[in-house]
Amino acid sequence: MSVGVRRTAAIAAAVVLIGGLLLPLSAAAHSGHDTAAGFLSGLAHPVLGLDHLVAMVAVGLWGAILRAPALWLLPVAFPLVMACGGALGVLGVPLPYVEPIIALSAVALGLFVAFAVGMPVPASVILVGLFALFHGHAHGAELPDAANPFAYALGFVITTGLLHLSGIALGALLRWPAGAWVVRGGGALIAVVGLVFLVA
Amino acid sequence: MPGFEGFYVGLLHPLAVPGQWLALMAAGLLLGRSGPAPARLALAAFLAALVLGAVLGAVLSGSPAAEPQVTWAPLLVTLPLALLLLVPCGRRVTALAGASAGGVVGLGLMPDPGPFSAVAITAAGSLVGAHFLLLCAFAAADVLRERAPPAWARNALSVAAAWLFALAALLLALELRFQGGL
Repeated sequence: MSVGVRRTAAIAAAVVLIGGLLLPLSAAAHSGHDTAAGFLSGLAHPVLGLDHLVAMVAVGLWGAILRAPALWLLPVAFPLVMACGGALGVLGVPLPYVEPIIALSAVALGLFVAFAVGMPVPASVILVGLFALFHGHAHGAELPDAANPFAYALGFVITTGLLHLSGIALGALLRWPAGAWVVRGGGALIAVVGLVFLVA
Repeated sequence: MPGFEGFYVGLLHPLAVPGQWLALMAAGLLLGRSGPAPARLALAAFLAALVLGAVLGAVLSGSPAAEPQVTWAPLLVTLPLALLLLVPCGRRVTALAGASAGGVVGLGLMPDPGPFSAVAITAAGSLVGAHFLLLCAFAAADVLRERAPPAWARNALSVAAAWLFALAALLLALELRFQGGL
C-alpha cells in the first residue's frame, strides 16, 4: 500500500471516528439566521453560516489541489446534488444529522486540503456530492419560509458559487511553495472551524 | 402613449416569472454555445413554438385546472435543458430543446382575459421580452465561445447549467409543496 493511500485511509478513518463520536453531541449550526427572506437573505445565508462558508471554500480549494478535471467537476457536481437535498428539505423529508454532517464536511474537506489528499475523481465527486446533499437540505428547509423563495434561492446559489470560485482562486497560490503552505494552512483552519461546530 | 404600459408589462413578464426566466436562460445558453450558424434551426424552432405555445395558452387561459401545469412546465423543461448543457448534442436535439423551451414559455405568456387590444399589446410585449431574454443568454454563450479558451467556456457553461438545474429543482419542489398540498 502506497504512502498516499495509507495517508488517505488514515485521515478518512480519523474523520469517521471523530464524526461518529461527536455526531450525537453537536447542536444546530444554523442558529442566528432564522430570517430567511428575499435575495439579500439568500446571499447572506451561506456567508453568515460559517460552517457553510468554510465548507464551500474548501470544495474550491480541494478541487484546485486535485486539479482538472476535478477542479471544475466538483463545482458542477455540488449544485446538482445540492438541488436534490434542497428539494428534500423543501418537501419536509427529514435527513438525519444534517447540521453535524455539514460541520463534518468542513472537517473532512479541510483535512483533505491541509494534507493535500489526492483521490480518484469519481470518489471525490461522490464524497462532495454526499456533503452537498446535506448542505442542500439545510438550505431547502428554510426556503418555504422565505418571503420570496426564488430570490432567496438565487441569492444563496450566487453566494455558494462565488465561494467555490474563491476557493479555486485561492488554490492558484499552489503554484508557489509558500502559497502551498498558505493553502494547506487554510485547510487546517477550515477543519478546526468544522470541529468547533461539531462540538458546539 | 396608448398601449405602451401594457407592452412594457408584457416585456418584463418573462423576467418576473422564475420558471420562464430559468427556461429561457438554459435554452439560450444551449443554443448559443455552438454559435449563431448552427443554431438557426433551433432559434426558428424556439420562435415557432413560442407563438404556438402562446396561442395554446390563450385557449387555456381562464382554466384553473391548467394553471399548475403552466407554472410547472417551464421548471420541468429547465431540468433536462440544463443537463443537456453538460454534454455535446447535435442540431436536432438543440432544435428540440429550443422548441420545448419556446412552447412551455409561450404557454405562460398570455395575459389575463380582457379587451382584445390590451391583451394583444401585452402579449406582443411578452413575446418580445421572451425572445430578448433568450438572445441575451445566447449572446453570452456565443461570446464565451469566441473569447474564452474552449475548456474554460465548456466549464463555465457546465457550472451555469448545474446552478440552473439547482434553481429549477428547488422551485419545482416549492411548487409541489404549496400547490400539491404537501
